[in-house]
Amino acid sequence: MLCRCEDVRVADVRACLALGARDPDAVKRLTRYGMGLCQWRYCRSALVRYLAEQLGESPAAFPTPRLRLPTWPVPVQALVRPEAVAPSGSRDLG
Amino acid sequence: MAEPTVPAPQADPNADLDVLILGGGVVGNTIAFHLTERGVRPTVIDRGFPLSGTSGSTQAWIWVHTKTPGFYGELSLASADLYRDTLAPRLPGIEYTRTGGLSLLFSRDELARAERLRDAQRPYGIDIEVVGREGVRRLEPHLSPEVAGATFSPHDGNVNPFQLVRRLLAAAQAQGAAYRFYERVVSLRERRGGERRFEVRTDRGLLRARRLVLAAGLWTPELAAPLGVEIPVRPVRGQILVSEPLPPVLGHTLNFMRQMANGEILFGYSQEEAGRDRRSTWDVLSATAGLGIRVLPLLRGVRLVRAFSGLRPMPRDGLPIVGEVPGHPGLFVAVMHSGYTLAPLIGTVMAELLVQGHTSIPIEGLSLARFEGG
Repeated sequence: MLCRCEDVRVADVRACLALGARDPDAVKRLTRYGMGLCQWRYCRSALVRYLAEQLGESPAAFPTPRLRLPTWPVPVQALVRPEAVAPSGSRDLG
Repeated sequence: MAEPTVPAPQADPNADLDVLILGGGVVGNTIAFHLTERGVRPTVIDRGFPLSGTSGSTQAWIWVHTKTPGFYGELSLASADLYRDTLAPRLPGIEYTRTGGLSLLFSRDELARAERLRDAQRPYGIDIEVVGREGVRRLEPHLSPEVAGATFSPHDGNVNPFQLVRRLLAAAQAQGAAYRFYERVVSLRERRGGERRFEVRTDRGLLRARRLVLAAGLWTPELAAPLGVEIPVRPVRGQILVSEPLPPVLGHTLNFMRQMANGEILFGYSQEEAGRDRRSTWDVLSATAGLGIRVLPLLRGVRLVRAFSGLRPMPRDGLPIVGEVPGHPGLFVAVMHSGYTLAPLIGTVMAELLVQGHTSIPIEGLSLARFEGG
């Protein structure tokens, strides 16, 4: 197993390679690899190493991920500022 | 001067394709899948891997009831029905769920507007019930008493966007579609005259196709420009927050928030003019968190695990741009805001158009021609 939060195994990553995926983000979206509570923090290097090995690349060939907020799980309340204005729901696009 | 390390791209004599689709998001993939269901084997090019653009940054509501004008609502309803009757049985695992949808109201003035919406949508077969404060609490006991009412419709729902695209792609691949990922289109040419062909030069070579489908969302205008075709689409940014998994607390899809099958709550519905800047911003995330708590107070202490942001392709009039491009036989376009809601319908009508030359429902109203002279 490579990603413990979302229970993604080597065979799941191999299936992504078979579909044509060649980068960690593609594997993430196909399998939820790294989308659990740890948010890549513990599991990403294992994936990069595995992909590099399978594709004959250097691990350095894969760009580092976009930094996403929050860097650590925080309560929803922590983001609220008193002066914040709620986004308008006046237009329906959904 | 250094010798180029990459050999100059050569025309591949085998690359005389029947249908070439530019863009491998939900739209390109639904068209590819529906074509393979009818025996056509298209080629799909994506500059990255599917889900790296708009299709991977969404709550993926399958949303019907507030879509106006009525004919647009009607198309959305037809598509939701195709999910239920055709696509979900055909592609197990896409997690299509017809939860019913609630569009929340915060004041009594909005109730009158809700009743007008209900009456306007009825002739198009869209069922809407206007519910008051108590009605909302019966449907969703965890919502705040501050919510004054809602429009409720049984047609709305949601899908797992990653699994939908994955399964469309895998099925199309298994049925003979060819995919070229991580390949960037450099230029497009239309060869008119005897043998009409589209020539697509990419960073890997030259492809020729008899028919070309532009399904690259936001990136479609720049692809179409060399052909002298203007696609009036602009990016509109949306930012979304993701909670840790919770037990089921939300049964319906709200047009602000939904709970996924794994328990995570996705919320946020910003519409920002930010060009192609896809970053998350504190002001919007803060406002989204505030509104989230206002709607669903139990969120207050729930942990957020992620924020993401995406760019929606927004046609100038908000309606899908679908069909053959006037004056350019063999050139097709499929660009829209609601790619997930409309996926089965657009896949079906585009496959009909490419295979039979006509569609089972009228789509003239979606033609690019409507912008001419405007």
